[in-house]
Amino acid sequence: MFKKLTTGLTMALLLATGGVQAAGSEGYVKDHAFSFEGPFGSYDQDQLRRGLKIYTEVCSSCHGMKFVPIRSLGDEGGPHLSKNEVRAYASDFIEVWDASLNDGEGDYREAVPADHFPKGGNANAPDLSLMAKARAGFHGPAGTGINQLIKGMGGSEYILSLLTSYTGEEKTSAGVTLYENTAYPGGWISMALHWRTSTLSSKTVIQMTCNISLRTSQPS
Amino acid sequence: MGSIPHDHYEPKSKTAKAINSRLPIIGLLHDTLMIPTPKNLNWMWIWGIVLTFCLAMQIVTGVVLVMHYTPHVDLAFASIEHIMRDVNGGHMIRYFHMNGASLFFIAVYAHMFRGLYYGSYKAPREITWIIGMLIYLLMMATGFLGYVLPWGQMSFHGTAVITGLFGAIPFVGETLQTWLLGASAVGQPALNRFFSLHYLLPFLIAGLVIVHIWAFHTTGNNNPTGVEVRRGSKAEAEKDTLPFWPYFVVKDLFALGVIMTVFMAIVGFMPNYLGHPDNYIEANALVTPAHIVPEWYYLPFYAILRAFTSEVWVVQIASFVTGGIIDAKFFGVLAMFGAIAVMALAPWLDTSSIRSGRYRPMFKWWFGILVADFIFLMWLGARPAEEPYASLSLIGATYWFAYFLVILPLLGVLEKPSAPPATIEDDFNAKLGTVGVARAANPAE
Repeated sequence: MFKKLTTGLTMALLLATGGVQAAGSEGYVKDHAFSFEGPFGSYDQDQLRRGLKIYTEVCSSCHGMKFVPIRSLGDEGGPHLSKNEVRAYASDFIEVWDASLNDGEGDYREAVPADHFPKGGNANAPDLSLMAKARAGFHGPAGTGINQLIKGMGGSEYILSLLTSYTGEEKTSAGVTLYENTAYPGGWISMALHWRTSTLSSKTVIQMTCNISLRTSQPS
Repeated sequence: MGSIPHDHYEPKSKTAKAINSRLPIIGLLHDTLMIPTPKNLNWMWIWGIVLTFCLAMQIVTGVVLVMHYTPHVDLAFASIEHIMRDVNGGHMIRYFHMNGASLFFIAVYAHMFRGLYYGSYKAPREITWIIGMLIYLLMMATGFLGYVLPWGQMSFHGTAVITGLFGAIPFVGETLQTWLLGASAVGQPALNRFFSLHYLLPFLIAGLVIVHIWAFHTTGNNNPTGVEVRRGSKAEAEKDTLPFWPYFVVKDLFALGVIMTVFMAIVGFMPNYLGHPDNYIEANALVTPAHIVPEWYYLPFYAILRAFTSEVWVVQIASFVTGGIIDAKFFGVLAMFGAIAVMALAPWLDTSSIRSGRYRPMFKWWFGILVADFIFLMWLGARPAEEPYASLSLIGATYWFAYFLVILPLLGVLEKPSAPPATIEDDFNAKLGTVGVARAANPAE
């Protein structure tokens, strides 16, 4: 009886105080039904490959993924590229600094699957290795964590919302151009909307990336 | 009060006799495992086993994690990702350890409130209770030290906040904080020593757990009626008890199985639910997270810490009387540790002659409010430090202290308890009939 009583009391208090939570400057993140959500969810392999394509051609010009080994592209449940495809991807797209080359002076070389993705070229662009875990999409209600329990932590939703919540407004602040984005905390982000202005239409992206190895000849 | 009369171990084989006469280890293990246990224990008596399991799990997974972790400010965060991505089964071991801490605290809170409701802290079990409180304090310290090791944003800025609490102590505070951190700010020296202590404290906990078990094996377990096992003769004691093995071992393992099912679901499907996303961002001294929130298990006491702002009249009086030595920050620190201290003093604050809350009609209500208050404070601890949360925290904190310092002593005088059963056997029979008969009559149970 006491358990019921205390639960009831707590819920009443939570509900009574829930309304007073002030709307802060936190961005709005919309829920999205990803295929990988929930206990029975799994990643859509084609979607992962399209994502890799977009990362390689657009995002990677600024953002790194320094904690992710290239070999994980071959993981089952991930993009699941073949061994040769992973090897080709590493050597074709990524150069790494190797301190042992050039008589110990170091030089760049083509990457191998055992290497990691490089750090980003833009120091202000956050590393994307852990981005889905490092952002919470859903808070509350009123700090109870029930939203997170039902909808998931929402890191992926945050990324999706961020990429699709540009309003088109721009402003210049202290010499930096900022873009209005309703998903970004504070509302103004310094990242421009690159992926829509890239040369890839979403249709061609889908056609091209069902097989990532198309830019490489099969070494075998 | 002597221990409960029961059969002691008699070595039978020649080898057993030879060993036991030189080192009575078999006898010790046998008597520990066969301890007469009140046969009316309910499901709230399973948390001890869950806690023992948690400690073992944390030590085993922790030892493996240490094999791959690097306590260096530039490498710690990367070494965690190395564990997650490169070490065989590493992601699972880390998630076990991470969520194991939460299971540990869920179990310890259930265990503590069980003790508070059924009066397990009362004579003759005060020492068991005090040792339990020491274990709880060490658990809090260990949990905090462990949270620092991934060297994420919450690790770093949480360390600054928590060690800052020691900095609030008058006169010696700043020196103490510098001594704790090994430097004037959070950095490499702090990470190194926190790593060392995080490895050390669990073994101190293990030692105290043995003393905790020793203490209640000497007094005997409490039970839901709070009535002691009859100790007049072995035959009498056997009517009130059953040996721990196999009866309670099997029951406890079943409960552990159910709990582990839920635990595995969390570890497997939502391992980061109880964590904070900011700790997946590498520590950066220059960027402070918007809200620095401790792990959920500290939140009730964190709320008490923050409740006593300089606007509260008690704080103002304390400040005036001490000539400003006790400021709001130090008062908060005192309140936080005081909130745990009053719990430790429960054996001497509770004046009731009846042990179990089951036979205390008024106590039941106040205790129910205490549990609600605890959950309420936990929620408040995660809210930003602003109104109305500050005032609500003050109300919650006030009740916490009032329960231990005013309500518990007064209830013993004001309350008219109902009569507990004469023996444990009576309670058991009233619920289940004589052994065997009830089971046969109610096979579906």
